[in-house]
Amino acid sequence: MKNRSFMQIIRILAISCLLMISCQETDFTGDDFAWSPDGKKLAVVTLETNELLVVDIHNDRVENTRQVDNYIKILSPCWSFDSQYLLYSKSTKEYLNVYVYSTTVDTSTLIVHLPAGKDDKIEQFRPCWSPKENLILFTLSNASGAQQVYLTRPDGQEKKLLVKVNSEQLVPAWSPDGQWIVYSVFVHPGHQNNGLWKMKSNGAGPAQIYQANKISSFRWSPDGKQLVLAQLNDNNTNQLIMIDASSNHKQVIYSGEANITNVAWSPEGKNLCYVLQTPDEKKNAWMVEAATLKKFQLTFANVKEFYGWGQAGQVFFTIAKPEQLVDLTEAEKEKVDMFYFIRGMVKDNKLISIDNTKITRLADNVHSFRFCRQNGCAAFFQNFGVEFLTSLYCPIIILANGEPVYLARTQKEHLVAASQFYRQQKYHQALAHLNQYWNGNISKDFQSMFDVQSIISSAKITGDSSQYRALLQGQEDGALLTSILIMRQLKHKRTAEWLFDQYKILMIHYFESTRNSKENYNDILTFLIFTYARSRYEEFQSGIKDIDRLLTINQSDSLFKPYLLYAQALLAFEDSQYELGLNKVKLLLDKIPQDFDDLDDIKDMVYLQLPVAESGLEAKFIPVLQQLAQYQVDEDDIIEIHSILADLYEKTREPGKAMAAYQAVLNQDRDNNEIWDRVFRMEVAR
Amino acid sequence: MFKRINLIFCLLLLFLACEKKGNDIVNTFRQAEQLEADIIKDIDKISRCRDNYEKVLKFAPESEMAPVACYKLGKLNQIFGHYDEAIEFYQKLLTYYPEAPVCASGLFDMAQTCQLHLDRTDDAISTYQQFIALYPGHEMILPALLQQGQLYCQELEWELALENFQQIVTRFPENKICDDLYFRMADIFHFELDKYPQAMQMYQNLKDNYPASPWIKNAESRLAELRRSENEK
Repeated sequence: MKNRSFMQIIRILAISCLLMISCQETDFTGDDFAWSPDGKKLAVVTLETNELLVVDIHNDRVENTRQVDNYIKILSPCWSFDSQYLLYSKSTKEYLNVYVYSTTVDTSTLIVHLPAGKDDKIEQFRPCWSPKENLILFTLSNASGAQQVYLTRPDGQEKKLLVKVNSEQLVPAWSPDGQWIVYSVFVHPGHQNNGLWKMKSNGAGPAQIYQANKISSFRWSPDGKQLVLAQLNDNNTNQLIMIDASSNHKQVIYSGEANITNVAWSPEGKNLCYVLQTPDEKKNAWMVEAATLKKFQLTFANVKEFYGWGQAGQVFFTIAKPEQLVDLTEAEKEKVDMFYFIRGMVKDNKLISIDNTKITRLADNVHSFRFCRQNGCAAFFQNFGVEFLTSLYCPIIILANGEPVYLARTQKEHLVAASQFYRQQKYHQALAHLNQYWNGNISKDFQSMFDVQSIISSAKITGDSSQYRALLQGQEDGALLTSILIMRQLKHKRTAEWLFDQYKILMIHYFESTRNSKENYNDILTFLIFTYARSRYEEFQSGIKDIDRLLTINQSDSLFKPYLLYAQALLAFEDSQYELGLNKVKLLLDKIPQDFDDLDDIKDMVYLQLPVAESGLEAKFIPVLQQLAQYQVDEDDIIEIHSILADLYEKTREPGKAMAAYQAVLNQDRDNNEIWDRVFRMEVAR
Repeated sequence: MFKRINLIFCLLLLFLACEKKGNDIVNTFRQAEQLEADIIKDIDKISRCRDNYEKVLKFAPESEMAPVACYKLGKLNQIFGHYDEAIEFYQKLLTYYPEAPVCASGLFDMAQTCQLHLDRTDDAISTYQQFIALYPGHEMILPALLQQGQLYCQELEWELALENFQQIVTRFPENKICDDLYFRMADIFHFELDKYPQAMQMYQNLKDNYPASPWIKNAESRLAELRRSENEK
């Protein structure tokens, strides 16, 4: 961070973060949430804390959040048909363990343990509950590589081998009535046993019902009368086929080169949805009427993830957020990147639902979405943007009444939840999460929690600086400023004012303790600007007013006030208050000391506003740029600033001054043809 | 003398006529110059209009105005004959803002552009199909069904065309094109599919439901012809 100006740091972070978000591959299994069949419980695998949680869901609230397990990699929670048991796996390089958690006795039982050396992986294990009784079906491969299908009880006892098949791959699934088990077999290309097999639930009478080269997925219809399967043919075409379960009569729904994924029946079995991914990686969702096989394209080659059916004919999927709809210059791209970064806005995705009547945007930046038809609730991770090159994925439950519940488990998640409720003007819920962040009650105990002088003195006396460090962390995270903003909104004026005074004392102490370090100012600027701008607070005016109060602090450090004015200017520009921003820049330029070496920052900040500022404001930019021009010594910088000035003078119809600016450029670079072109154009037009 | 005066008078009239014609041409030319000046002013306005919509897409792509700006850019391109660019903007609208109310119009306009200006019949048919499936209650559903039906006729997909026309007459029986559609459907059954009982039923439906239709005489003539053929058998 040393020797870099604030704007340079922001630029690097903005571009890096946006690149990170576009490339980031967080380990979403797609099975991070599992609703119990009765809709009364939800299992969640958290990303930030690696916990397996179970929560109880009632109509209007979430209760009784309990930790079932805690491990680096917990996978694939799934519920028994009666919602009493939860199956899950823990996987490392050394072993694969499968557990069943009983909600009645609140304990987990190990039912399968595969130690190091075994070939089995969780993807091949594929456990699934019977839809009618508490039996678990799973696949293991033996030493010779044959696939073995087992049945076991939730306590892991009485494991029964149902069938053994020499097959590279074997995927079993229960029929909806629990009477049959269907499994796909792939021995090797062209083998006669490849295809779909069916046996009774006790393993009796296995028989091939459909021969196919390679079946990638298959699904029973809800009434158990039909099967839909996706297969890869010998000629490398993919087909989606519907088979009558009793007559084995088949009908082709799709045949072509696109990959077929996410096949899903509607709850009542009348329609089928699937996703086609073409060789150019574009995905489309299609809907088929099961009775007639009439199909139509639901989407516009824009699907990112498909999340299946909701209630009343609704399907859910995510699409990318709009990007580069028209060509942008480099300066414009920078301005847009800055806009997103300063506000903490994430360009991830939009969650869309389509039903018979409308297409609706439900939420942004959603992952692992799961809708529960029994209770009308939804659960997902939401990407809350960047904190120095990391995303924060907080688990959220949306209740049937539309209210969000944040399953926050860490300080940062509580802060994010507080900021979201703040945006929705639900200040009491915001305060509840902030209390969790601070591990206290701000309204009642603010004096003991935030008396900076006492905390500093106590740290010196006792040698325990944990409370001081927590306070600094809160300042850095923006939690302290957030607390002040929320107290103001709750009309706790005295508390808010007192907290702001503590904030000022903390800032002075922070500067004095590490005086003359430019890093301090970058940090201060960072959280000053971000807290007011981020999480969509857009409290730009509050920020400018608060900084006015900080400017009254007596600080002998000559950099203190210029940096605060810098922050004010940036907030004003982000709020599209260009005149105010330019006035702050003028004040800043009047106050900067001789040794101030971040003029580039100021210049770049002003340049960034030029493409966006509405026309008619050119005259306001000119005096500031003229002032900045006096400080430019580098040839390229002189050329740049005078080119911009010339352009502005032309727009304000001052050709004489424009010519003087062009001459200043040509004094540095005689053969600049672009400038000569502009000179000639201007002269001809006069 | 009288003849001379007459001759002079005729020459004078001829001269005045030529003068008037000359003035008409001059006026026409001057009008063209004035219109050209107005067009240049309008081009500047159009250019600024386009720049402003583009600015919305550049700097506020997540605002509520952005999908409307995207649609308008498509429409502007369509109006000025830049059909490929129009399709591009409509596709961006549908890709990134499928939830926007203006998408329905974008999808319909895209179908029409493919049909009427780019001669991309297959694309037009599938785009109309998507519009019909996604926006069954939209005010443009009738034109969409009708246009798609016409395209099916063009492609000799008679059964599909009949489905569309039947949907129109069922959903919009009061619409002024229903009698035309009944006659068209009847003719398709009659001459393209050789399904004479269905054809007769359609001609009869036309007679029964739209007695004031200009197609009645034609329908009666066709019915008579079909009954004669039936009797001969």
